[in-house]
Amino acid sequence: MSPETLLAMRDPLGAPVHPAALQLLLVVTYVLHIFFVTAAVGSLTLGLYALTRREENWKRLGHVAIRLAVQATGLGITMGIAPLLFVQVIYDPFWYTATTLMGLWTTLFIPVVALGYLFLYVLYLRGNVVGVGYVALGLLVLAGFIMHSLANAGLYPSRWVDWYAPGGVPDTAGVRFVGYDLGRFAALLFGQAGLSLGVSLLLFAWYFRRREDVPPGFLGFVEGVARGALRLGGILFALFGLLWAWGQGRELGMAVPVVLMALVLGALFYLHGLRVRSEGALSTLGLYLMALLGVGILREYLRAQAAFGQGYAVWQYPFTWDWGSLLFFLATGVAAVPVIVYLARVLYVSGSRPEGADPGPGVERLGDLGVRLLLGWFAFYLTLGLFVVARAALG
Amino acid sequence: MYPVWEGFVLHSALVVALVAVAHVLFSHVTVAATWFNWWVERKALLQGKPYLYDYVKASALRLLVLAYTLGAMFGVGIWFSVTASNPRGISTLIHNFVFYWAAEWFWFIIDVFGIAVYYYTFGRVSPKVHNRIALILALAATGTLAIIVGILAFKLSPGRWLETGLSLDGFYNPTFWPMLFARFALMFALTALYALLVASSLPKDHPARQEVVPLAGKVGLVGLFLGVGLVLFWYVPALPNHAKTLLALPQVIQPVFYVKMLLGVAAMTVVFLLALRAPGWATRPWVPYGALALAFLALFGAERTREAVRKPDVVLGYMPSNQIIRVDMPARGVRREDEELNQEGVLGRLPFATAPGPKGAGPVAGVDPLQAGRALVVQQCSSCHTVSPQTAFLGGMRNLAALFYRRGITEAPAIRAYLEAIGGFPYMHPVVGAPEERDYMALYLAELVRTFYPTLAQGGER
Repeated sequence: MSPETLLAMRDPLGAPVHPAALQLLLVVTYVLHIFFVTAAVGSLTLGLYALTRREENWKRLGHVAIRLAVQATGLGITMGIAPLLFVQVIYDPFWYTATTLMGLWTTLFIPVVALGYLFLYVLYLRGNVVGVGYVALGLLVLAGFIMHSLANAGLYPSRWVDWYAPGGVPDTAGVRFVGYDLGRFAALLFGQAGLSLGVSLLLFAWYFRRREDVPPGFLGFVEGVARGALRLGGILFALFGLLWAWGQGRELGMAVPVVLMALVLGALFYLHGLRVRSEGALSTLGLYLMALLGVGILREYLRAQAAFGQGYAVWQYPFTWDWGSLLFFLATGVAAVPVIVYLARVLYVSGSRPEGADPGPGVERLGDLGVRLLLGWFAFYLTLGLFVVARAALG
Repeated sequence: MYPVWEGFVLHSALVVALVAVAHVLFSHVTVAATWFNWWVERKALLQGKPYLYDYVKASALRLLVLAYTLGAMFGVGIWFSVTASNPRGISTLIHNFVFYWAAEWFWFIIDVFGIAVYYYTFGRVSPKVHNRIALILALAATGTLAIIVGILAFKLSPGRWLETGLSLDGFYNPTFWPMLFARFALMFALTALYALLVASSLPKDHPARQEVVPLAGKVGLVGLFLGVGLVLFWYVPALPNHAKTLLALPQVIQPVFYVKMLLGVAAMTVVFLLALRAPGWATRPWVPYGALALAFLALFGAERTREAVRKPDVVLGYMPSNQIIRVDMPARGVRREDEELNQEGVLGRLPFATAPGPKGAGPVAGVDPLQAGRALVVQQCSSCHTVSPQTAFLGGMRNLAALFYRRGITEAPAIRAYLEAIGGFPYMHPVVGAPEERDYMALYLAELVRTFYPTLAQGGER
């Protein structure tokens, strides 16, 4: 694929803002997405293991882990929408080529996730159908592999035509997986699953430390498992990371940054897992989010460099400022973010006592404000529409 | 231009249609159900009817498990299936509306997180706080509808966007307003069916069942008649002339689709009347399930009709289904692509329109005519037609071989002449490519007819 051809594949409409803004949004939203996705895989794996154990603490932890897996899956899918949006704007030649090359898997991605999610709910609501849980885990891992392949195949424009039309004859069935890298896949899914699980369990132990109906012994047990998960995650991330560096890192001439990232993060969380206590859950979360941000930046650097190597400078993506769409986005954010904070506060407070609890007056005021903001958004939405119609009518 | 995914067994367009209709059904139910639940819960709170919480809880659990796993996810599923089947079509929408979709993402977070908070805080926070969460859910769910309507309606009527290139002009387009209000009304009809199903899961003598069933009947009837009225008297008159022309063409909208829509409306009307007059019948599960199945058929008809009336374009007046832009749009610096492809040929210009032959030998020289024809037909026709046995399940989708066979056009010269004529149909654009390339297409299509109808190859008659 020549650089000219690659550049010509960009959408002629261009981006609505400078590509740097889209890159930033892409990385930040990826962090949220991958945290929940890996937390789901990690906690479901732990939950399935716990179901095989007879000890009370394991049984109890199994229920917690499966419930966590359900919620994390839902949030992981929701969070994934945003990076998916932004990648399509500035990396359209890479994304759309990969998605059509593996067309069948692209279309199967959501049914696979949805089915996995449904099975997960069955496991959660029924509790003891372990087989269903394994199917759910298999489906979620398959979904992860599909997404990994789609992201990864885009990095190799020089192979696209051969993948699509081996011997010159187009293969339009889209049934083959192309361009995957097992080291990268394992590091970013299984390595991070251990870390996300560890962080989530620490947060659980921290949150329930004040609940008198939750035995301290159980919380101590959860804390121990969390430490183990962090150590295991650190080891897996380092090992698979080295594999990633050996494969794709070498191919793209970026083995050194991948090795550094794998070893630094692996060691950091292994050592952290030796001594961390649930009191340090929030700072561990902060540390982990920073680490994920680092991984996100590395992924983006890798992609941008691979594209640049093919003559595609992402920061030179043509754009025109589309103020209307930015206004729409910002106005929605202003209305929605306080509401999300309010919902989180209500959940936090209601779980603080066994019988539940009402949020305090400050949170109540935030709730009232949230409703007003949502109503205000609809007023904004309709008024903006009327303004556009009136402007059109006036010529 | 990207590689082409024809589909596997099922045609790619059929995959999109199935996913899309499933999404519409679930998501419409979800949005209106949040309002219905808020209203019922408010009654429980203000009128001191705690038994109504049993209904709200049962509804919330189903929404949590089904609506949000299937409804919301199949929305993203449409996105994926369209990406695979028509990448440049979705690219147009994404590049125009990325921040509108990103705005919708905020509402998704509230929806998915909110329904979990809503369900898990039953009885754990005061009824007043809980009812506020219900209201938040309803408002955010409606926000998702409010945004997606602008993008959906844009495809059919981009309006002033074609001149100004401004996303706001594309979003608030000529069919935006009627579609917004018609969908908002119609989703209450679907939700009423859902409410009947949930109510039927409660014990027969449960007071919530007795109270919710007639309420669902009323809400359903109002939503249905208001929605149908808005469609007939506001949406249809607001359609672009091109769409109105196609609505009357049986080649585009087969009469069976109108029958499906009528059947769905009639079935829902009957069930809602039963809910008001004979609630016992309306809550026999097969009654609302049957109506829901017919509503699904009606939705399939309605959504397909909506998609079909912008034929042959993905975005009316901008991009046809073959993904080759046919207009200049100076406001966004877009230039039409078909003229250049007609002069210079498609094979040498599009990186994935690959055919065997020596590379670099020019657009049409040194290639196997049949394989070249296949590549070109796949590139230009496979968005809407089955063009190979690969997607011929149950005959395929508007199978080109069947179409030519039916019309007695089975030899390459006749097919070549037909290809030249199709630009005159209101639901087709002219074929793109150099004259030799059109010959190759005709050769491949003649071969395709013989593949599907082997008796022709043996000199048999039609």
